[in-house]
Amino acid sequence: MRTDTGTTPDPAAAAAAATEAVLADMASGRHRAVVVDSPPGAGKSTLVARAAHELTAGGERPIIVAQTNNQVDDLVVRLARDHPGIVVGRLSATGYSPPPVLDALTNTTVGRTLADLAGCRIVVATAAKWATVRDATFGWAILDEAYQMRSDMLLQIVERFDRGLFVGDPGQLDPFTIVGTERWIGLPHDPTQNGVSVMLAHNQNIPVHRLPVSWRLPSSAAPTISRAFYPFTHFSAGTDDDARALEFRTAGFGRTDLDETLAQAFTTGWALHELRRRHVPRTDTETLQTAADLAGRLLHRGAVATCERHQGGRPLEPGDIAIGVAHRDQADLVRAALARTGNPGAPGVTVDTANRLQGREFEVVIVVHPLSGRRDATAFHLEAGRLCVLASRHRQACIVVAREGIADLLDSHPSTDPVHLSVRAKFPDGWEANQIMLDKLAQHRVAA
Amino acid sequence: MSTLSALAYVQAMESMQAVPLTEFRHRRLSARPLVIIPLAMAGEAGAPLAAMVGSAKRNGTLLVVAQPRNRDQRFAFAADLGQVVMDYIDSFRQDRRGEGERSRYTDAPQILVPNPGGIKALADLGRMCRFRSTSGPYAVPDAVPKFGMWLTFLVERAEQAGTSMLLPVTGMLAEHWATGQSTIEDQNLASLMAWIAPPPGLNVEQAMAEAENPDVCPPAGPSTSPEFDNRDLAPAIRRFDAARTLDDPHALAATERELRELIAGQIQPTWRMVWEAISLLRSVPEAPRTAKRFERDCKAFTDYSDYRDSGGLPQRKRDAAIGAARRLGWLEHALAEFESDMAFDDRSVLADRRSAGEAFAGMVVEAEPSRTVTTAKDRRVPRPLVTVRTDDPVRLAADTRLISPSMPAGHKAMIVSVVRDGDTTRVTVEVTGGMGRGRIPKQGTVPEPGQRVAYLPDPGWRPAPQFPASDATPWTHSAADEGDTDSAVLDDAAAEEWGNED
Repeated sequence: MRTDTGTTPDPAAAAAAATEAVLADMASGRHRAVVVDSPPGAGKSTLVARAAHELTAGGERPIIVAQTNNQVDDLVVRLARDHPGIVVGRLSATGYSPPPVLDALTNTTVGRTLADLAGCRIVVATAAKWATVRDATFGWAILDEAYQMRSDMLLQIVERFDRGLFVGDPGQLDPFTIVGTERWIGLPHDPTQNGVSVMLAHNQNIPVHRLPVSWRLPSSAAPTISRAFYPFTHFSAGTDDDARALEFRTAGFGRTDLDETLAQAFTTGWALHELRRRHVPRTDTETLQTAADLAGRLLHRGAVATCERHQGGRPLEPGDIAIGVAHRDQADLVRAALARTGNPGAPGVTVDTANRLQGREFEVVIVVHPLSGRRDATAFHLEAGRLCVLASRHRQACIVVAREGIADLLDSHPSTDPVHLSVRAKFPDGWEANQIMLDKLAQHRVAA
Repeated sequence: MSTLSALAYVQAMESMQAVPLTEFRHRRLSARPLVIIPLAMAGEAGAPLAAMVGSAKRNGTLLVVAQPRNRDQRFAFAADLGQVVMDYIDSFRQDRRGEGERSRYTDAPQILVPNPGGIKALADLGRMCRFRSTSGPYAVPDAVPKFGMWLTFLVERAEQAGTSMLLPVTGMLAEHWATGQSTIEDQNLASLMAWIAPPPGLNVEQAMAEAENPDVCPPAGPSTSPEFDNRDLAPAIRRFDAARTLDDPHALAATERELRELIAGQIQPTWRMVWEAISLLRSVPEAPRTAKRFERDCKAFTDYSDYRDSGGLPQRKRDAAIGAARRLGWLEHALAEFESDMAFDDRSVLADRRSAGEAFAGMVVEAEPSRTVTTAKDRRVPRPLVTVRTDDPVRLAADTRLISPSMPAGHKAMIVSVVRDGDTTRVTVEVTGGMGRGRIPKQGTVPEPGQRVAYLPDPGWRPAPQFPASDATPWTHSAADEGDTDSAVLDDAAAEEWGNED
């Protein structure tokens, strides 16, 4: 990591060079597909907007495929704002009502069929919506969050375009199926795999680029996240050590346990708030209440965040804070616990599961460790993508709440997943990634 | 596992007896199922050792492969077993009703195996048989490839949730009863039966101790007990081989008889237990929606049967890209529908879903039955709003489509809002269907204040996903220079010694 920052003294230049290389590969016309691996917060949306613009400038009429309606809305807003001269179409299902911010833009059109969007230079829709479109072919498609799209979905939309730019974060959660079947294991076209892996397995010499700089993660987090979850494709932080800072607006009084953790997080960017060792169900009140209390305490004391965007400092608001958990019932209980803190800002704190926090960004993130208090470590709880999503949403600091004993749990549950023929080993390994994260957190441990 | 099912398992452990998890049996049980207990030889993948097969407890046929490594004997066994199974399947191809496209058989076969391993053994047997040729070198009897194709059809169908043509008995039992043991232990027929119905004179602990002793309760297959293998089976097979080498007909018959008796001793306890389990399962009432799912089984059976009659090809070794994607879609849809059917029919399953926040039930506290809206096509339609107060931890979002087991058939609704109110939750739903064609909803089709209603998500009808034509796999899912992968492999790549060439 140190050498990384050494060889790339100017992150902006490195990022710009990577973007240019992607655009050059697209323009060369030699490849049916170009893949861009993007670590958390590496300017994926900027790249998508830029690529779409370049394509329209070259006379193309590209389509953009995203995975959720929220992602589509965000992209449409982004494109319309960045390129006021281009009319952006949003293809949507019946019953969709655009958010106010999208309505306010003059260069966007919402339509139910492609015919409604005949005048648009760029058409954006979810993969599910594109799957209903027949008999239209476009030169280029930009597939956003492509690692979250299952191969069977790609198969439904692939006839809509000749060439594709696949953009996504390979470190996040893989798509999944609830159907337990082994019949496709080892097949290159396994429909439960993500679309990018399947496409790469069938096409040689596809250029795979990666964005080298995370603009979101602070310099305290980028090296650890890079080493734990992107072991072969390191990236660095786009900001240096003193660009970001958090400060309390008031002095602490009472609740010294919480304050100590917050202070640790404010000064180092990480904190592990460790509760007493106990085996507990995932709905353990103490753990979840502590996560909520930390958020409540943060709001109560008030904090000012300084960063490259707000060099004079900006007070932290509830919307800048998120609490990430593994299960939906935990999210419900944390929301209830937040309400109990009595803080008027508490309802504004985002509480969600890793799956739903994917692609989102906050100043401070409080994570309930997926392995906290467990007796066993299942594949679900060990999944590297889950921890990666939770630990890479923050711009300032990440606080992990856990019961003591995760290290012992990991030691007694090494990965036992069966190895299958023709299935490439998956990196990073969840078990190892968890160990690296734990090592890092141990340096920032505050015992409750 | 939801809170409620976890509670049932804890109760079972504490009271040391199985606790019913469901009100109904959600699997159809044929009046005349065919039980197959396959045994395989250890150490050689897919080598059948024996099978006991029959459609009544008293007329089980035991088929044994004296030397499982010998391909001739293996396929002779497959032919014998195939004959029994094909006779059984053909007996369902008699009564056919309906015209043209809708014509189908009124009943479908049902094969029961003791455990999920039994299905795997039949899958292996199906793969071993379906590509064999009935002429040329190493020809096999006519019944073999046909049997292989039917077995593969049944195994593939069994992957789909809610189907009933091939089922493991342990799965059916564990779906209805919670025991104090783990999911893996529940796959052991003997110990599962010890929890549900211990033999007379024994309590559950004693019955379990016996169930775990392979000398009292031999494993239900497909693998046999290693002790039995080493102590009894291996020497007996060796004696059989010796007799064969000596070409001594008397010794051969004697050693063959000895082997049959040995294996009969291993397989018969399981045979009796499977039939006991079947009569236990018969005593559980069948869920209403099972009939609807069975109709689909009949259709699938008819379709495959017609395909076989028209000389269809055996199923492919591996799914192609488009076939696999299409299949995944079916499987996911079938699973969602089966889970919803179970909750719709069964209050216990519904309670389980409610405790996980995936369904809710409560009292109607407000209703606006006369509300109408104007649709995009400029028609005024009734869209009553109903607010339900529930104690359930509802975790459904607005715009979720709902169905209700407590309202008349066809009732459909959509969540408008979910608002926490202290310890309870107020869910407002808009009734969207099942109210008749008029502008005023029919009597009894809109929940009234004071009425108790339950709602669960509608798995709904989804348009079948549209994939490219099967002969035009797009570039993302096929390698340009690949051609046909199967033809790239030499025909004799899988050649192996056929048996005792003598």
